[in-house]
Amino acid sequence: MLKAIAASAPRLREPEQRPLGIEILDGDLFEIGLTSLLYLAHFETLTGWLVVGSRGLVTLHRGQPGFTRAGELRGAAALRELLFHRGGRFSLIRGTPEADDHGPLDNTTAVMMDAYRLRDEWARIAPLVLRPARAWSPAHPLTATVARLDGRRTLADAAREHDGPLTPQIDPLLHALADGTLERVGTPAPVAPPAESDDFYALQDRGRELMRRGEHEAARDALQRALALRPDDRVVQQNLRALAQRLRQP
Amino acid sequence: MTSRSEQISKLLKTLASTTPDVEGAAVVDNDGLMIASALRADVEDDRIAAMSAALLGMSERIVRELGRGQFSLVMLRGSEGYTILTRCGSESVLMLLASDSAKLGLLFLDLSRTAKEIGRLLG
Repeated sequence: MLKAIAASAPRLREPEQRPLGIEILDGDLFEIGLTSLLYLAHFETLTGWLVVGSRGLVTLHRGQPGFTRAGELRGAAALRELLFHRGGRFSLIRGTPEADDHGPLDNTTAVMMDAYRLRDEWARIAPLVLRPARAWSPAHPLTATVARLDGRRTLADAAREHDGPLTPQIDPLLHALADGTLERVGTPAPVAPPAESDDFYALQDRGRELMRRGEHEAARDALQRALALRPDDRVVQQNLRALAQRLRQP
Repeated sequence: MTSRSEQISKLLKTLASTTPDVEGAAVVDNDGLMIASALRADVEDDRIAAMSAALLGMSERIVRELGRGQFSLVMLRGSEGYTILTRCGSESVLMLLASDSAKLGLLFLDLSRTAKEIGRLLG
């Protein structure tokens, strides 16, 4: 995984481009988590960037996270979003980031702990089937998500169709559940809990198990979700090809 | 908690990286569905999965019809190396590719340990 790449002249960061510098480590976040990488950068007092696939980037100044982005989010909110999601590729790059006005992120440990709290909360609420108890203001930050809650789909299903970041929605969802603006419908859908369904290997196991039971549509869904987490994984690719072949058979 | 596939994947990677002359390994179920693999990029997964299932079916039939008890292992030797298929549980097999210079004693020892561990994980 360690790469000794010929030194190229470090270049100043351009907002939406991969930073150019010396890539010292790359790999899969399933093998080494983002938290461990941030600690590694801290111990090595690394200056450069931690690129998280196409999801975002953390600028590092002598091991301290500085400017951070994840989609539309910036700063601590962006770091929280990056830490919340599992999997994907990463690249640790040594270089000279452009000086920015943001300065180092305050209390990175608190952000990490909050990301883990949100993971737990999400694992708890994602399988729930919800519906709005009353009309929602179009200006409410949850309106787009709530519009997808039809009383049949789980929150996890509704969130999958949502393009934006997930973490800013979790606390408002918890509040809406607590104050009764969102209500539960029946029993939670019999799906694997999202903590598990966000896990690549759990999705892979589940997809194969469903295939063996002849539940091909559900198997395809699980395997495609696994593939979305690791597009290059050969085992999932083979399983999906085998599934397609079975579906073609009379 | 580490999932079953993840643990099997790690076992295969360990087998492929620590046993000399092992060039790749894969776990395939009886229906030709790959469970985990540590194969080289130029090896076709579909081919490995289909051939493992076919070889298993044929081997089991031969063993049964010739009154040799239960199928345990089959080894094919080619000029460039070995293909070994062994049971790891009732629903799956472990296929291993090794170079022609492989030390078979060591290979079988590691193969047997790995297959046993995978069998335990697969229940």
